[in-house]
Amino acid sequence: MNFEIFLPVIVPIVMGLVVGIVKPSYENRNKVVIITTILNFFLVLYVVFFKDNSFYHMVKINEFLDLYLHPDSIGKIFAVLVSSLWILTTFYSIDYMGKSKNLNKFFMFFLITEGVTLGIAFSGNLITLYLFYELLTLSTFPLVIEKGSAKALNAGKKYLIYSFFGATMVLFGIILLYSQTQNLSFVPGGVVGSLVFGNKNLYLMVYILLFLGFGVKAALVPFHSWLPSAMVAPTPVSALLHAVAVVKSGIFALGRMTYYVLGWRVIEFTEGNKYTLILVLLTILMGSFLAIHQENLKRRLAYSTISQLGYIMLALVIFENSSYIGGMLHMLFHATVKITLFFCVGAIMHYEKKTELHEIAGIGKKMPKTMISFSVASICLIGIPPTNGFVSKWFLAIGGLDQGNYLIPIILLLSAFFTAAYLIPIISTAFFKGDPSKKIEISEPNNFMLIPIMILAAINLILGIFPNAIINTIQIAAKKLF
Amino acid sequence: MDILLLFILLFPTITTTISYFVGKRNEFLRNIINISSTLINFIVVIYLFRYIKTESITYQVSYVMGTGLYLKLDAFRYIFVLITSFIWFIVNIYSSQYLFGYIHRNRYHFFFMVTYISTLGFFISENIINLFTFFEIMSFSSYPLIIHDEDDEAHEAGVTYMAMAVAGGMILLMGIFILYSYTQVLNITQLSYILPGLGYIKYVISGLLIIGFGIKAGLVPLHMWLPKAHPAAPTPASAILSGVLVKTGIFGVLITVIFLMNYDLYLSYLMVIFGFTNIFTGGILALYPVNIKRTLAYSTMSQIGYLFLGIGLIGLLKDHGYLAVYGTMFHIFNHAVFKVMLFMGVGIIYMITHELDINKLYGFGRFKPILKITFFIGFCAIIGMPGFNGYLSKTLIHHSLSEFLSQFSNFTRISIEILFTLGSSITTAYLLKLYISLFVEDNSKYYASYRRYINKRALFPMVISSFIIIYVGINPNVFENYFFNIYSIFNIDTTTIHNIHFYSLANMSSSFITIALGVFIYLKYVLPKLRRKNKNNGHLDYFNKSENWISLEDNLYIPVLKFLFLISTFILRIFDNLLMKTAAFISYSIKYAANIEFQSYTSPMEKLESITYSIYRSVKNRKNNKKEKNKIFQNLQNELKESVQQGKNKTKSKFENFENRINEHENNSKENIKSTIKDKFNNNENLHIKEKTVKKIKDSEKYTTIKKDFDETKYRMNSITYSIYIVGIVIVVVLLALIIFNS
Repeated sequence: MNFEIFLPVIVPIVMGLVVGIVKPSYENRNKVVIITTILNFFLVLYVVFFKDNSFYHMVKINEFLDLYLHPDSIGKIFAVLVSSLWILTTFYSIDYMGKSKNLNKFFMFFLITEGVTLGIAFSGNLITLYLFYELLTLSTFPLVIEKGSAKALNAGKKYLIYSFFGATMVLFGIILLYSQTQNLSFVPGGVVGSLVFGNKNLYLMVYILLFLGFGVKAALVPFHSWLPSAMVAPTPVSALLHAVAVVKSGIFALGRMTYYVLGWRVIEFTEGNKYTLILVLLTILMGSFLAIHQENLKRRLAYSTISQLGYIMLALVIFENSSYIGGMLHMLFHATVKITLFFCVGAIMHYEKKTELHEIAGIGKKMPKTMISFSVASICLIGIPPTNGFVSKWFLAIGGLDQGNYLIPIILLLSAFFTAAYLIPIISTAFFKGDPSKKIEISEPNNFMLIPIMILAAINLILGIFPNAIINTIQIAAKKLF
Repeated sequence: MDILLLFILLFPTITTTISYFVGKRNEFLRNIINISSTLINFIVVIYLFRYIKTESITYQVSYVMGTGLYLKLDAFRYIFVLITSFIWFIVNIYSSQYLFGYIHRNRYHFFFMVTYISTLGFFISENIINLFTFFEIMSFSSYPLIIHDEDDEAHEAGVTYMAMAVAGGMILLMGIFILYSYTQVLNITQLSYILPGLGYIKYVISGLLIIGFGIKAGLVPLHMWLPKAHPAAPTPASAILSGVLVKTGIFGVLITVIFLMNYDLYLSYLMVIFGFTNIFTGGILALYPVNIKRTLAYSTMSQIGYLFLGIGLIGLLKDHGYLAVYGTMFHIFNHAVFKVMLFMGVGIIYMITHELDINKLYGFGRFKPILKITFFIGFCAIIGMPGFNGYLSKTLIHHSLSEFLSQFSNFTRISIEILFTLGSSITTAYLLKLYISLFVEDNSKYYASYRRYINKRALFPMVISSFIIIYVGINPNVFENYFFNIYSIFNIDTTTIHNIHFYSLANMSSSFITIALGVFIYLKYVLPKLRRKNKNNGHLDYFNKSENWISLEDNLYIPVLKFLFLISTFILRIFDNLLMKTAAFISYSIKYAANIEFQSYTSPMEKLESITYSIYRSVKNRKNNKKEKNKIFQNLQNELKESVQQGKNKTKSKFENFENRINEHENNSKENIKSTIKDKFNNNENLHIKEKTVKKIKDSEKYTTIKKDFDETKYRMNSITYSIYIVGIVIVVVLLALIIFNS
């Protein structure tokens, strides 16, 4: 039995429950959480390097309800991403959340969410993925409503309803699909194959249902509005959930569905991607354009996330080798970049109590390291070479052009321009505005907060200059698909 | 020796990092590090010359930036590299002196050096992605230089600059995307074999590239940022912006038109037209400003026009274009030298007076001989006075223009010749304005010599530049002797190359005609038309006549962009709120429907209900005895109903009965209620009572309207709403499915 595969999933869940039930003291809890996330990172690494093509069956009731884990290369990349960013977020949130007493509950769900997200990464078939997908909604809901204010509760409700609505559509799609294929496991190229002939409309419907359903978590327009509302959550949660765990799980599930269950040839045959492409392009444009209108920094980043998720989803509606590589690269790069941006904004919120754009004039002189990291991440997000954002944008645009679709690079560049339009004012306000005669004392955040930010900024730069190793890994995965 | 190519990029990178951290504590040491590193780089570049003379050198680093780093240096690129490394060296000396009294000096020096590295990288990139990378780094790193002063003017310039630089970068990138998608190669040399063979798409590609690079070069009508940004920056930054950074745009355009597109005919014509537009727009606009740095910025635009013209002529004359190549390359070099020098001169004035207004600075340089002489040399160079370097390159461009024009009819030829002469003469006019006000007019305010302010370290670069200007002017063939190899890069037919007699009578006389015409414009237009008397001191002040002219930016670009912005905001907002608004609409429509009064006009029952309600409300409004009254009126209502059922005619008497009972219980509110009831009942023959009551009821908060509800949607999304919208969407999905199945 390959029980080791199950460990990264179950360990954080168990440890989370332990934290929740035992209610340890502040110091002990921090130790437990830090050790768990670091341990889990190594467990993931063990799976990544030593478990090739292995299965672990959790439950098997019948052919349909067969829950098993089966890590493959894309899943492994996602798992490494999640588990490494979780460590940094742990340190960050220990400082951010402060010493308030009711945090055991928070960290309980924080750990459980990690296990669930890794479950999504390692799922071997669609029904397992669906299970973890639902669990993710449940485990993140308490994190979103952590503040307990009316606004937070409302946002949480919205989040729940949107997510469950999406999940309902997904379940409907899964049932329809299973009735045809009798197989939901992830196979490169899909399980449908030639079944699609003569049943085109059914598969079109399945595709649309699954795409819209998973699209809710991936903040696809018009199912995106839970994301800006959910910004009431504490910043580490916003950063992790809305940059990494939740939205990327949505994207990851979409990728599984597109390339491993239905298969892109089937979708191309049904021509379903023509409809979804419109939604995706709309997502890109709308997110980045409306971000310009947001005065609140976190909301600005939330809309930015919507737009950037659209970039990734492009890879799932244009079936080209290079756009697939671009999308997967952007999934990684956007995670590291956006989490940096959120961390910086969170540091400003936490230490300076400032949330709006006009309030932060001159803050770059006060918190130079934080804001330099913010600037680095912004430039990455705009996609200015030689940063990582450019690499993924390049592949995406070339993929679009390979299909002869000029609209895609145009929209990408337009969106990049808007990205510059909503991020550069932040940098410029922070560094170049404010009263120059005022003597400003440098007061950086606590090291618990600052070091994760700086590590992430450095990672962004390094990934931009030396992306070849990752590109090669993804290329190998892409070869199986195309 | 290939590794030296990497060295000239990496070495300043390392020293800049060191100098940034050193500069936080010791500014003197930082300046030493920066100056010496640019000097070492300059020496290395000179050393590289021996390898360039015969062939090109290349250097490759794979596994960087996705595509690898591919550097190349040949005689053509070498000219740009040489200018960059030289100008940065002297401006570095200058700015170490200039920036005293400025804040954030360390930041300035850091970005100054980053711009240097990226500019060098830009000129030696062979891979087009590397080229783009360095181009973007350069765009971004010059932003902190432009807004260094952090005042409103600088920020305004910064916004324009940033918007246009980013937009330019995106347009350029679009061109590169299409380029790569069609050719699948990235090296400029390889691209130049493939691209000319493509169909119409090559014009799309080259158009995008030219726009992208053209923005950086200040190509009219994409020049808006240039006259704003160049004056806003501190002077050393203005100098490099005008002297070197616009050349990056020229380099890009040249690469596109000549190499990538293989001397394309249409593009070359386009370049000639752009050349003339730039010469004239820049020149004419330079006549008006009162800010001396702004005049110089417009002058840069005008001089860039010569370079565009030169590029066009290279493309048109193809392998006969020996003079065009020579002239263009030479002018790139010359312009860098004299424009940087003029800016440094202005910078010295600014250092002392902190003033850029020509009306306040007049007569400043009258008794400052070194400044006066060096500025005069720069002035002579830019107007093309024989004996100075500008004359040589302008003559060459003029010659090649004549050579190209020889195939046309006399009329065309002469009219274009006149146009060219006129364009050049405007240069003389606006610089005369500058020179005469600054150095010839008399102003007692500036009699002091200010010698202690004018530091030698600031004057030294100017003296070097003037020396170069004169040396080149006296030895006109020095440039060609060194850069002979450049002709093979441009595929020039070697048999057409011949010696030029720069100081022949014909050339000199044409130059003097141009200058004379410029003096004429100065005397007949600038002096009488552009000045008016200052009431305070009687001096004839210049005023900016062009301020009220139609500006492309204010009257076209900004309104159009604002309009587009509003439209897209409106449309995208719809998508943003689509689900919420739909859900709210469905929910509140139902709610509204449920709250509607279903009343018939004839039912007495209905009337009574309305009436009792109004009574109820009128009493309720009185604050005392609230509960008691409620009871009474519930009884009243019940009895009313009964009475209606018993007989309609009896209602009136019944009401009188009620009245008595009210009197019993409510002495205080008696009058009030009485009048209300009477009011209602006396007029109950017609319908307007009913209307009135309905209106009253509607005014009360119990009833809502759709409009009211929509105002509250944002705050009042409840679970019913959500469930309704879920139902709504499920219905939509089912319908969709049905449609799909039926099709």
